[in-house]
Parts: sequence; C-alpha cells; structure tokens
Amino acid sequence: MTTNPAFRLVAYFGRTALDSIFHLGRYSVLSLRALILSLIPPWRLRTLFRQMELVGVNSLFVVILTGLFTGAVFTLQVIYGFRRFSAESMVGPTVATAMTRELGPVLTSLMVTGRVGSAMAAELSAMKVTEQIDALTVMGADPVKYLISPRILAATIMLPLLTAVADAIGVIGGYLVAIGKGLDPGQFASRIQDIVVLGDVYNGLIKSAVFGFILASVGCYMGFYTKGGAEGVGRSTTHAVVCSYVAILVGDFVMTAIMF
Amino acid sequence: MAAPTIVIKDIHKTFGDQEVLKGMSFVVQPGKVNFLIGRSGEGKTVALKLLTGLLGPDAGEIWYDDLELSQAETKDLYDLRLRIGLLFQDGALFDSLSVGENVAFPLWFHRKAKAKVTRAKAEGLLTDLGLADAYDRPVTSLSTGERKRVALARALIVEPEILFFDEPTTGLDPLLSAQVDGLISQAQERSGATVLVISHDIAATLTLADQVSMLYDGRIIASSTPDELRANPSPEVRKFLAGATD
Ligand SMILES: Nc1ncnc2c1ncn2[C@@H]1O[C@H](COP(=O)(O)OP(=O)(O)O)[C@@H](O)[C@H]1O
Ligand SMILES: [Mg+2]
Repeated sequence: MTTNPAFRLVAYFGRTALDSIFHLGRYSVLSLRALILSLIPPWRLRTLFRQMELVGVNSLFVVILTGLFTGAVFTLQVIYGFRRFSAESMVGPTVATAMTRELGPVLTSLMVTGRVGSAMAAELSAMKVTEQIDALTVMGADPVKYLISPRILAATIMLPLLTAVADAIGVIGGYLVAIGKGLDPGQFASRIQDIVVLGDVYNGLIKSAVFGFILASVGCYMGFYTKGGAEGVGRSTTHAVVCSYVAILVGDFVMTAIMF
Repeated sequence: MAAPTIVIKDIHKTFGDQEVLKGMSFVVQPGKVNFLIGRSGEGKTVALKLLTGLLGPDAGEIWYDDLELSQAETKDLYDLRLRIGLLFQDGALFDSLSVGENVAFPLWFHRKAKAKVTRAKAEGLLTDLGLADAYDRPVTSLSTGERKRVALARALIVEPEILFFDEPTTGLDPLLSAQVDGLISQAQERSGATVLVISHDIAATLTLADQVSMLYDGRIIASSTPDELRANPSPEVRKFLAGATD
C-alpha cells in the first residue's frame, strides 16, 4: 500500500481498466453464448412470446407518450427556428427525419431500458441469490438458454416495432403542434412524402434492434452475475440501466457514423 | 444405470480467507440412505454444491462410480445431472411459476411425458405431501414448510437414482417431519436410489440412516452405521448426539 496520491491515482485507473476489460470479456462471452444457444433447438416459443409480451405490449403506453411529446416539443423548436428564415415548409420533413433516424430509436430504447432492462436485471439477480439459477442447472436446464436467450431475442425483435410506433406517433404529435401554430397541414404532410425516404426509417429500425439487443443482454448480464444478497439485486439493477444508457448512446454514434 | 457409489476424496474449499472444507473424505454408499450431519455453518451445503458440480473444489476428487467431476465433459455432467434430484435448503422454487408448474418442471422441461401425465404425477406427489389443492397456487403464497414440501416433490418427480436432500425437515412440525421422512425412505426403496440427507434432526438420523458421516471443522470425523455412531467415544460426536436430542 502506498500513500502517494499520484501512485494511488495510477492504481485506480489501472484497476478500473482491468475491471472493464474483465467485464467486457465476460459480457461478450455470455451474450454470444445466448445468441448461439437461441439458434439451437429445442425452441420454447411460449417462453419467447411471453418475453415479447413483457417487452413489447407492456411498454407500449410509455413509448406512445414518449413519441408524442418528443415529436411535439421538437416541432415547437423547429417552427421557432425555421420561422426566422421563412422555411416553414421544411418543418414536416425535418421532424419526420429526426424522429425516424434519431429520436424514435434512441428515446424508445432508453425508455424500454428503464422499464424492461432493469426488470430483467432485477429478476435474474433475485433468481441468482435465491438459488433458482442453481436449481435450473442441476435439473439439466441451461439457464443461459432458458432465461437469457429468449429475453435477448424478444427485445431485439420488439424494439423496432416499438420504435415504429414511436416514429408514427411522434410525427402525428408534430403535425398537431404544426396545425396549432398555424402551419399549412397539407404542406406538412406532402413535404414529408417528397423528402423523407424509406431508408431513413429502415436505418432507424436497424439501430433500434441493436439497442434492444444491448439493453436485454446488459440487463441479463448484470442480473446473472449478481453477488451478495438483496443488496446485490439493487446494485445490479442500477448498473444495468447506467451501462445500457452509455452503450446505447455510444453505439448510436458509431452506427450513425457508419450508416448515414 | 444402477445407483452409483459416490466417493469424495480429500476435498478442500476456501472462500476468501475462510477455509470451509479442509480435506473432506467419505463414501456415499450406493442404494443406501446416507446422512451427513454437522453443526450449522460447518460446510454441509457447500459439500452438496460440490457434489452437484455447482461449485468446484480447490483440491480433491469427487467420483460417481468411474466419473470424476472435475474431469467430466459437459455432456457427461449433463447426463449425470439428469439422474440427480436435489432439494435445496431454502427450496429454490421458481417464483414465476405456480406450485404445480414448479413440481412438474423437470418433466415438462425435458419433455419426458404428456402434459396430462405430468400433471397427474405432480398432483399425486403434492397430495402425498399434504398439499392436495395447491397445484394452481402461486409459490409466493406458501409458508416455509410448504415451500420445503413443494421443493421435495420437485426433486422426487423424475424418480432419480441419486437423491440429495439439504435439511428436508428443518422448519416442519413433528407430524410433517415424520411424513417427509417416510416419503424419503419410500422414494429410496421404490427406486433403490443412492440417497444423501443433510440433517440436524438427530432422531431421524439415527432411525432412518444406513450410514452416518459427521462433518466437523472441515473434515469427516466419523463415518459409520447409526449404532456404531452411538458408541463413538469422540467428544465432538458425543456432544452433537447429546446436544441435538434434548
Ligand atoms: N458462495 C459462498 N461464498 C462465500 N462463503 C460461502 C459461500 N457458500 C458458503 N459460504 C460459507 O461457508 C460456510 C459453510 O456454509 P454452509 O455450507 O451453508 O453451512 P451448513 O453446514 O450450515 O450448510 C459458511 O460460513 C458460509 O458463510
Ligand atoms: Mg446448509
């Protein structure tokens, strides 16, 4: 043990770096294993559908609210800005591209992380500390295939669907605000058709599928490797949300730089 | 496959700086009711987790006939586990499933039987354990004693040839304890399974056991028939026998 602050700082960064590499490695192995196992029969469609219901249907309301207000407030800002140089006709396409390419996928994923990613971490870590995961193992039921694969698959499938809903609701929210602000509703809609291309929508949906994978795999990872009783359950939930947020935002930048 | 002999050789296990097992060795006799006794916190549950491969030993060997756990392929371990029924000390029931779904889980998961047959079997076991109408109840509504019995039913449903019970009667009233003890010997007799029971209940140990091993300070200090154990002069054994009977 050294008391020199400079050494302590180096030691701190060194330890953090090693920890990060350890977690990243173990996380990669777990997600890859879950992915591969989800391709190998026997499949349990009922388990998958149950997870799709939890991820998709149960998040619908919060996603609709998110889409509606994001579209609305973004439209307010755009109208305010575009009026300065009489570009009101471009409000519709601007709102629609921003929603489909960026705001829809990212905000939907962040909302679903808060609801579902954290719940996955909590559920798996509770199963871990009460030995339910050990019980599965002893009964010859691979916990990765039985618990984690369907969760990751469900989130990867459902996030694009939720994002599509958020996109549509967001544009409708924007449309309503535009009318309220005295813009020409016909122009709002027709300019969207002229300018926004299907690729904008597709790329956003692809991104959201990746975000779905991230939030479920990170949530499951944090839950699966929980240590230390009830306290560990709370800790893994918090870590799941924070790490997913960071991974989604970084991943968003990387994918956007590559795709657009 | 016949019920196996389990040989535990010089097992060491340390958690952090706490050395729990310090060279534990004993033999679990095939087709017999074996008891593992010892004070609370002595490492009995840890021993069971080592036997099922949930934990790995720091040193030592665990043999199921001619299969050594640390050398076993994933496939061998999987096949072995299908022959094992394990009752966890705290039940380890699946909270997201009903009582009946918990009991039926091993059959359902491995698609061993038709849904109707599985359900009938689970209901039969629950009835034997005094939980006749519990099939559709949520697991969260159970008392400690009920959880234990549901977990016992789940361990028994596949009629395994290796049965591990971690304190099956702790927390049950005397009447239920007797019932559970009866069920354990019944299950053993029906399938000729190799049974290992971890217990605090000295009376049950001395009446039910064919073979008793006592864990003390990380090692097995006695491994004999109940009668021989009664005559064992070691002060630790005497203290345990006396302490647990009053
Ligand atoms: N996974 C673990 N990590 C750290 N310590 C453990 C772990 N499992 C058990 N222990 C410790 O090992 C000792 C023996 O525990 P256990 O086998 O549960 O005792 P018992 O004989 O009552 O079943 C206890 O002190 C316990 O705290
Ligand atoms: Mg114990």
